[in-house]
Amino acid sequence: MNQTISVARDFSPYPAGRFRTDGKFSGQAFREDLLQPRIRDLAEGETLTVAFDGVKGCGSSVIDEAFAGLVRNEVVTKEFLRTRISITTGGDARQADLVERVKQNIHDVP
Amino acid sequence: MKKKPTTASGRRWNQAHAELSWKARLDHKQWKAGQRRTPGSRRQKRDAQREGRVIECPEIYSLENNHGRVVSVLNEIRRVAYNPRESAAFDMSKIREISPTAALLTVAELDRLLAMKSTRLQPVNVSTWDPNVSRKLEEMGFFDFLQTTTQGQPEGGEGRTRYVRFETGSLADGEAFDRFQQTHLDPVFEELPGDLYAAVTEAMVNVSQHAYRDGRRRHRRKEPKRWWLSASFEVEERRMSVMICDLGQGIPQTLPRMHREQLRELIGDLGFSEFLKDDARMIRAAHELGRAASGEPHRGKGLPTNIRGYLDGVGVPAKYRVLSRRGEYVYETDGARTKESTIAHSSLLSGTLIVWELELQ
Repeated sequence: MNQTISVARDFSPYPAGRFRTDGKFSGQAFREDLLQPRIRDLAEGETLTVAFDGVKGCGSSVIDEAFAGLVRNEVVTKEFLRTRISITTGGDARQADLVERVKQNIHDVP
Repeated sequence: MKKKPTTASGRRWNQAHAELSWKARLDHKQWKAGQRRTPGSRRQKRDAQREGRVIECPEIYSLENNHGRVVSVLNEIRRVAYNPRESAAFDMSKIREISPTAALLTVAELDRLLAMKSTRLQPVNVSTWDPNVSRKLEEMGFFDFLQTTTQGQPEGGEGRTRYVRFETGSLADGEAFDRFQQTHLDPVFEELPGDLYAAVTEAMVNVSQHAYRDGRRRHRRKEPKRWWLSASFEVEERRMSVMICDLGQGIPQTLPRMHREQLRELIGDLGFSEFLKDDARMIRAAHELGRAASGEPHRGKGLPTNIRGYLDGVGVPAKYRVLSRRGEYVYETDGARTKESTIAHSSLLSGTLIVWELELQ
């Protein structure tokens, strides 16, 4: 069973900033308001796909705070992120390296 | 002669009346004296003395070709903003050449002046301003901050370079940038290469998190902690530049606070204190280390990854410049190879300006 979050539809097509103090659609807001509740609701064996189609762009601070922030805040382990959460970009050329950037950010968490 | 009251009540009435008259006379005297000595009248005199002061822009109003004189004009506007009693007129009639970067920084300073003092500068000699310069300034939204409309300026002002109306804000506002791009850039260039959205929004994040963090200056409370965004382009040449600036403390000031040890590793102890004074090398180091003044290793990637990194994904000749305090850092690509350089300026530019220039071919 697979669940999906569409960042553009469920959150905003304009994510920007690390913390809530940086802006309305920050990485922290995405993680706390959307990702964490959905991860908590995942049943055994279920996976979560985060779709970035339709998003205008995504800076490092959003990505790091949203995904690596899950590990730093001990919501999930790196292993959980690798096996249960996948990221898609729908072939958007501007987001071509997004998946790699997320992986790198998670990898960099000590 | 006044008749002496014979009754006790009459004597009391007279005594009370005398006291009240004396108080009324004293109040009136004090009021008159106060009127003569009120600080307001001194202020008016001082203002009258300063009315003759005019901020004059040089013939070449370009950060690229006349850095020192442009910075001097910006500092004069800033002085008016900081000093509650200072006022000045603004004369751009001598300008024959203007650059979009100088225009944007001037707009930012004037916007801040308006926010801090609710004051617009009085322009002088508007009818003699170069039509091409006036047209560009009007396109950028410059006349919002002067006590004038564009009326009275000479007609004409045809030219290849077009300026784009500025946008301002204090947070990382992706929607504002997308609107800016769709309104001004997409109709001209259809689709821009690379992820400019990430580059600009990360620059906004840096303003929100670092630029105005010092809090030392007494004016800071009233100062707007904003970024200002604009662009310019030449349609036929298919050249475009997008720029964003803030009027904060500058990258070289934010870097040493938390990165002292990493900087030592990068430079070595030898000449470390000299290095800290070299703003251009500090800006370059910010791109090596990540700018984060927080000292947290996961932060500060926006500068090298998205802001400068934007150029790595465009595949066309492009230039990225950062000017902050007395330093300038340049990163260029011809579409394949890249090179870096630094420039040391003698004048101190308060704040940070980031420019992306693209030749879209």
